[in-house]
Amino acid sequence: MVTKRRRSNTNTEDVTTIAKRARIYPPNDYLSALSSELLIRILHHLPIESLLLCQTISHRFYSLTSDSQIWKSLYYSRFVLPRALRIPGIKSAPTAEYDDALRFSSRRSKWLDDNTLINRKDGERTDWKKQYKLRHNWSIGACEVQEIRVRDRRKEAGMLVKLAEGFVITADGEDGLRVWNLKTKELVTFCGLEGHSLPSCIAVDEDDDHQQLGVAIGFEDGSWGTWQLDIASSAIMKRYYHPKSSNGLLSAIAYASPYILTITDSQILSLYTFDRDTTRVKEEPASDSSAATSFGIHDLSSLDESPEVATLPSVGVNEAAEQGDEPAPRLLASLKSHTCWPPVSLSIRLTPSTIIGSIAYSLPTYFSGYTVGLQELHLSPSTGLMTSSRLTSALPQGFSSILPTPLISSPTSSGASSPLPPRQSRASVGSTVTPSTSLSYAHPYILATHPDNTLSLYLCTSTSSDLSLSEGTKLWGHTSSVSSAEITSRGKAVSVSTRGNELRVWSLEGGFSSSTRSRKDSRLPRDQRRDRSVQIRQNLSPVVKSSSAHEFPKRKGSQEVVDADPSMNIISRSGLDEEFTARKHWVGFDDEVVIVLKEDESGSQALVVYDFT
Amino acid sequence: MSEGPAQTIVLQSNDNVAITVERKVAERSMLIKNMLEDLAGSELDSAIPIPNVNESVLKKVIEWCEHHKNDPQTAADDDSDSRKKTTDIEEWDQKFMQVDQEMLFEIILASNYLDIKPLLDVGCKTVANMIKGKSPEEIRKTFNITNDFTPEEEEQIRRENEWAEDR
Repeated sequence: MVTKRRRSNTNTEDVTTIAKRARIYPPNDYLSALSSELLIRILHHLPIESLLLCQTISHRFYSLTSDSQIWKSLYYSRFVLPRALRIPGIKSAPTAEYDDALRFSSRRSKWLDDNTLINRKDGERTDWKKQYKLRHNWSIGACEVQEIRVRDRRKEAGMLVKLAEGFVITADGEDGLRVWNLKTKELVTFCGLEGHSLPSCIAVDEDDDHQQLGVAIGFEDGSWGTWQLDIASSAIMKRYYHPKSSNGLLSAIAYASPYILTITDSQILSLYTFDRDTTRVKEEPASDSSAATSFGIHDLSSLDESPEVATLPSVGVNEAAEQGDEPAPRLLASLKSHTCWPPVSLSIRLTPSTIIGSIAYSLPTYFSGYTVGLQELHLSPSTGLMTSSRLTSALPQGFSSILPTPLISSPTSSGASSPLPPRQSRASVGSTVTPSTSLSYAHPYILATHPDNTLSLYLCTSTSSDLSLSEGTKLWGHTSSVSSAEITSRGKAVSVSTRGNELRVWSLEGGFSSSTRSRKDSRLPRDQRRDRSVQIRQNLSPVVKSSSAHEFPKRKGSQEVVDADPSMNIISRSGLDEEFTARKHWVGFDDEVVIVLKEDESGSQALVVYDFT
Repeated sequence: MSEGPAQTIVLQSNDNVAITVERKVAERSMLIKNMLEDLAGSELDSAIPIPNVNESVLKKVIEWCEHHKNDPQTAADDDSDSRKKTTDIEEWDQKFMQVDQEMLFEIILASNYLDIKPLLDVGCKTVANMIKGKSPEEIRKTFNITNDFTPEEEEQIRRENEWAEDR
């Protein structure tokens, strides 16, 4: 019995039998009689609709039309090529090379950042059909929506959320640090934060081999700590806890092992390293003084470090033994700014020759509201000394324009759907009068969200000799105040409105050249701008329809879920009702999902997962 | 390699018909071209057998090569073919391909065997155009394909593909 079955299995799967089967096709079925190679060649010429229809012709066609190479070329022509065309460098290349670069060829085409899909580190082959579907869903905003209930009662402290490697990491004062698995929607592990004050900021560091996640949390009392999540064993471990300082609440933190960058509410910036190898540097004074001197730009002034801060590293050493298994970090630099208005966004970029710590912040400008500033600290990885510090800011929007320019004279480009009050629309013509609600910085993009329903995008140029920010580009589309946004270095961004049912996906790469050119051409950019974002369709019928194999058990309506234990509940979206009462706090995304932290009137919080696969 | 314009070679179909063609025309086939290059120097006195292609198909293929003999040669790169998404076929080729299905697929097989990329592409595009815009049932009818799916399986696949429907 068993052997029989095995034989029949191998028979159907074997390639040779396909060839053999070719003989049993009806004599006038010339098409099926072709070799698979030739059939795939034919299928390559088909548009995607026909290709999918062909799947239902026969088993043979089903397997052929799923061929990864076909989907690879479809993926290329739809998602890679348009981007390649937008990148000025490729466009201006000599014609022969240009043609070469743009014609699809699995070996030679320029795949831009999607190279990671071509040359995968993990040795697996990319399922191009799956990739195509994923990108397609992103582009039209189609996804399956599910909720992860993270908290049922109203609590005072906010919750911090990060998304990394298919995990959602949340931190708050009462439930501690928790890690949820995105696929199973279950709590993986947790770790109490008792004895600490309330967490105020969080950062996650992903290492290259996807084995571990580093989590850094800053607290309201100015202390911070690091935790390590081992992905395989899903065990979380405290690595280090840095005692509190008198400098107050930490408002942002960045973590790129072994470096930690923090900024307090009072805008004291500190850079630490856990790296003990650089023993050549003795102690902090050296770096501190270099920090002070190189920080002499008029906007920001260095501050003599307060005694507590200066002695912190040594205190840390003493306490490290009880606090965690990692030795205390060294303080590499500490700076004080007088102009970094919240919100700030910190990041650390590691290059072979430099460690670049960046602070993106709101900057008030007299007369015209707020703009965005960026400061970069360059440190040498070998010595840990700060080599330079640079500062730049974007010109406020509409700065030099008394005359109405095409770019900013179209605040109503989002159409009738966004009835701005006249006063406010005037303000958005000039610039942003209110500070941004959030900033997201992923080099080279800075995305600021504003209460006036818009976002501003800035492009940062950082070379060894120069640092500059482009003029901000307004992005219209939201119909209520934008509360949070996240952008990746590839220019994909997701933004969410505080209220209402609005989540938008933006594709911003390459939009810059056109939007700066837009001053000359008034019609084109507006169209492009509209095309750049797609609203995620939430109450999509596909949610119901996709009752295929991979479906999670769903329950209806949040009110039915009565349970106090912190395990996760998955609730299908029941309708529009709650959308206008729920507040959305935070948004984050990876390649496959978008996550929104939302709070309803009762104060219970949930993570809404928008799954695009 | 260009010794005289009138240099000819003889091709022999699998039904033993000898056809004389201009060398330049025959060299549209990369198979023949490479073979002739390998034989360079030695005198070619016998016919080149083309074992997989019969007379009528070979004549048809030669007719195409004749018409396209002055086309710029595409690079010998196997993979960088012009698999552009368009299924545009130039007018002469469209007329050329107005043949019955048996001949159409014979041309595809022959051009594949003889390694004549542009002709193979025209053939594939022609077939693709026959598929385009048709329902699965129409496609099956057009090509006499037997449906080996159960209705349930068909429905299942249709559901799998729903994501692509609205774009």
